Amino acid sequence: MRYILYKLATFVATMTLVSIIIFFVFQLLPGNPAHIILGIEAEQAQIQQLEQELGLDKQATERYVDWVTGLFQADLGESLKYQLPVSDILVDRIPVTFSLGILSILLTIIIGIPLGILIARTKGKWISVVLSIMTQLGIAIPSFWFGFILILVFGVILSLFPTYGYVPWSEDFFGALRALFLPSLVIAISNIAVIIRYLRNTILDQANMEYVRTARCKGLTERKIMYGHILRNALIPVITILGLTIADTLGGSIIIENVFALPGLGNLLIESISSRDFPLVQSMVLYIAVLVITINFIVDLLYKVIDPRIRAKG
Amino acid sequence: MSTPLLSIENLDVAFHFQDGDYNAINHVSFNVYPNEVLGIVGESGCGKSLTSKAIMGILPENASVKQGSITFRETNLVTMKEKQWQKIRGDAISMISQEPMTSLNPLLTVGKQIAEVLKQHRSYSKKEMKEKTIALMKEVGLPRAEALYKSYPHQLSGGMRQRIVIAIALIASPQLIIADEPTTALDVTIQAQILDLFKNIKNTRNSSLIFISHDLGVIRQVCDRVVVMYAGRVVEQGKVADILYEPKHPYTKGLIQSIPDHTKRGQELYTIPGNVPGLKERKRGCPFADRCAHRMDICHTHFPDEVYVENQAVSCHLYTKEEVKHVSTIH
Repeated sequence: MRYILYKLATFVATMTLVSIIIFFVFQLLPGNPAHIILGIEAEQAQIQQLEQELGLDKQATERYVDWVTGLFQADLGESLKYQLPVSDILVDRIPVTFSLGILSILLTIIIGIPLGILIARTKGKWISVVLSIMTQLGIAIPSFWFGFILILVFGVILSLFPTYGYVPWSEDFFGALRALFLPSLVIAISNIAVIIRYLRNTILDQANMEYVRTARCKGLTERKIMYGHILRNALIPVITILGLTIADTLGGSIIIENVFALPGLGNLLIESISSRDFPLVQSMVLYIAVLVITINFIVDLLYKVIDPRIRAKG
Repeated sequence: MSTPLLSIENLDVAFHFQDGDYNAINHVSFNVYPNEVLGIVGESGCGKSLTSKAIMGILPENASVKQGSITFRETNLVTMKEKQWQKIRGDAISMISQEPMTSLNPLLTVGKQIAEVLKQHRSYSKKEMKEKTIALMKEVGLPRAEALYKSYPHQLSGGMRQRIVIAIALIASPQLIIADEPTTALDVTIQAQILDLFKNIKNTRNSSLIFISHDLGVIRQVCDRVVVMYAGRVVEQGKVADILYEPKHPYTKGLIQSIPDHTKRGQELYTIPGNVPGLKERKRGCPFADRCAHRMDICHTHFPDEVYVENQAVSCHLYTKEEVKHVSTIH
């Protein structure tokens, strides 16, 4: 319990610090939002009036407090470009990125972990060498290249999947799944490769441990030794990597969302930066920060469930 | 004597390196009889641990049995398949390792880790398994066994963990238990307690025990017979009392001389000059020859046959028939 409270306290502290940094860094950026909205030729009176409306005439600290109060009321401000509440825009975009992210994480786990076990078990055999080379390629080759190849093979030549675009889940479940499958796979490929290599190493490290010999001396089969003893120990460090991957994926993939023309957060981020839509950019940076901190928090709690040595420290 | 439970004959175990095979165990032969405690003593690198791994069928990947046999209950273990090994391990032969701190899985409760052996080899109900585990935990001297059943290894002290490891080895009542330096990693006071536990096991259980140690003092306390190994060879074997009080092989003599005790107070402690030859430095002949004060020409060319001198078996040219008469002339 103390452990959870402690983690919760650090969680809140980090959030506060992050919000302060984000807010004040955006204050330092050149360019007056009122100027951007009204254009260069706007009159001074107009600008002053708009600044008053936007609250830009107040002190920075006062505006920070306003901003944070707004956050708690789900008021992220208004987008300069779209003239819409930022929250409305995000609510539109988040389902796309989340669907993409969750699907690719599932693919990463379903494909990465069994292959990691396989490559560790077949150490020294040709299949392990082949897999090893493939993971090397998976990490080295940029994801947009995989995107193009998959679009070409499965989209254009075989016509199994659509080549671009997003279908909402509520409209057509299988259509959505088909539309998201290729981009999720592309995002997953490098993550799968990383997980395979990482898990292989942790499994081989664990396999040399004394407790594995104890398990073998009990007469357990290699299968039981792997799944009952080695794997749980080997997965502990992998969870950290997986947590980072999840945060990264849910933050939106700028490249893949562009390759597959998906209206997700990655796409939005690029758009809003190029149109200097500060409220939108600021909210998205905050969203990504919150995401990373939250997932780290969950990973910490997961550790506690899996590893009794951490449970004891609580 | 009765028929041996375990009989090792002419065992060679080699490590495979890029530049060839090197025998780490050479023509090792000894027997373990029912209900006896056999000690194996020797310096590190003499092959005592490797011998025990060969018996368990858990040799490292780059080592294998080159020749010879390990006969257990009339079956040659050397030719067995992995599946057959798995039936024997933990059930008929078990092993206690020297690292109590790392030989338990940190993520599983100790009770589960003991009961796992029964789960593998017996068809007890969950309740029976737990009862038997708790009863054994009490037997090996763990207080509050019911509460400890659910604890994790990191919550226990080194001595308690070693008792858990011993319980894992005992739970299926195996006929042969191999204890590889079971007290080496422990504090002296805990060492004494664990040795007492082994004496208890010896008296109350119908198991044979192979007790591996580099410490003759420890061997003296628990063993009936002892095998002295040097650089992969058995150099002398016999009853503990005979070996300790009437050692025949120059190496055994040196080993005993180098045990500190109160009669040697104030004197410099004897050490055998030189070092154990490395695996790749071993030549034909007796591996101890270079360190031996009694070496003869033949020692460098031929390893002596095992001969009986009084009550023990010795492999030394000092005692082979032709040479026996010269013993008195050698300094």
